Amino acid sequence: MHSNASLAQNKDSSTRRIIPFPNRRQYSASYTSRSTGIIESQRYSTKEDIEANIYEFIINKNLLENEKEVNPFGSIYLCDLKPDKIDYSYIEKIKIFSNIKDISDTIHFDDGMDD
Amino acid sequence: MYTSIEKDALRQGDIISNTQLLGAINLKEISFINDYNNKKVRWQYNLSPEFGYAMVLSHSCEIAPENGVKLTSIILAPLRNIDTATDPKKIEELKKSNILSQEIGYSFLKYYFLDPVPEIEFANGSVVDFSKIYSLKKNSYEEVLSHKILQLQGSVVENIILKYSAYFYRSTGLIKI
Repeated sequence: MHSNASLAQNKDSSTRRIIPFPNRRQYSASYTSRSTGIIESQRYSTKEDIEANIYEFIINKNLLENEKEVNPFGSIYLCDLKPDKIDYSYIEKIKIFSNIKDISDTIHFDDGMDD
Repeated sequence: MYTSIEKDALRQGDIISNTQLLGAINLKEISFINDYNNKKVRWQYNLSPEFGYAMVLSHSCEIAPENGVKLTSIILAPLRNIDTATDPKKIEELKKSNILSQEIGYSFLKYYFLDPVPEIEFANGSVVDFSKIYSLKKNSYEEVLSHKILQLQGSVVENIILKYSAYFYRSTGLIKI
């Protein structure tokens, strides 16, 4: 069985026309319509079209097919949060220190992390 | 300061080793990959990943597997080597500031000192840095758990979280030192 590319190449060898690289849409079409589509489209092909198709094909193949990756910045579902009741004494304990002076900036660490 | 490790669960105050340390995103460092229509379809950060120690700061209850890990993220903060402090004279003062005191009236609020221990390669101890907190998706739970090396006593965790809370709760406005 011929691949799409080789089939198109064979049909085209007599006319010496430039074959556009099959893009994703063409792959999803049926065998017959895909072949026809390639042959039809070659009439209007330019170098830019070929490059664009190749570029789109590579992007789609290598990158877009991994859409199932988890988005690192996915939503945080606040409705899932069921915080425990906070004892008032804890709040009071923190409030005692609300006016404490923070002198953290008087010391730095030379370990490559920004301070 | 440290206690026996529960190997099947993460708890507040747990120390994680050899974990990727994440931080604030620098938009200028991001490069994008565009498709043919110039739509941004991927992004990448062109810097080497950094690995090190981190402490779990999420409340134990909220990341407990038996509670279904209620939060969507696990909050962590990196540990820093006390020996890299630029002003070694202040280290003793920093250690004492672990326990907040109204009488003293000042503290290194963004750090909590951790005693040296064989499991951590920082020979003279480390500090957890609350100003560099970051979070991981909760589906990282097992990965984080697999790197757990130490668990802190409950009383120590209480002091850490009091300082952590005070760091964020302190009065607004610029205070001249």
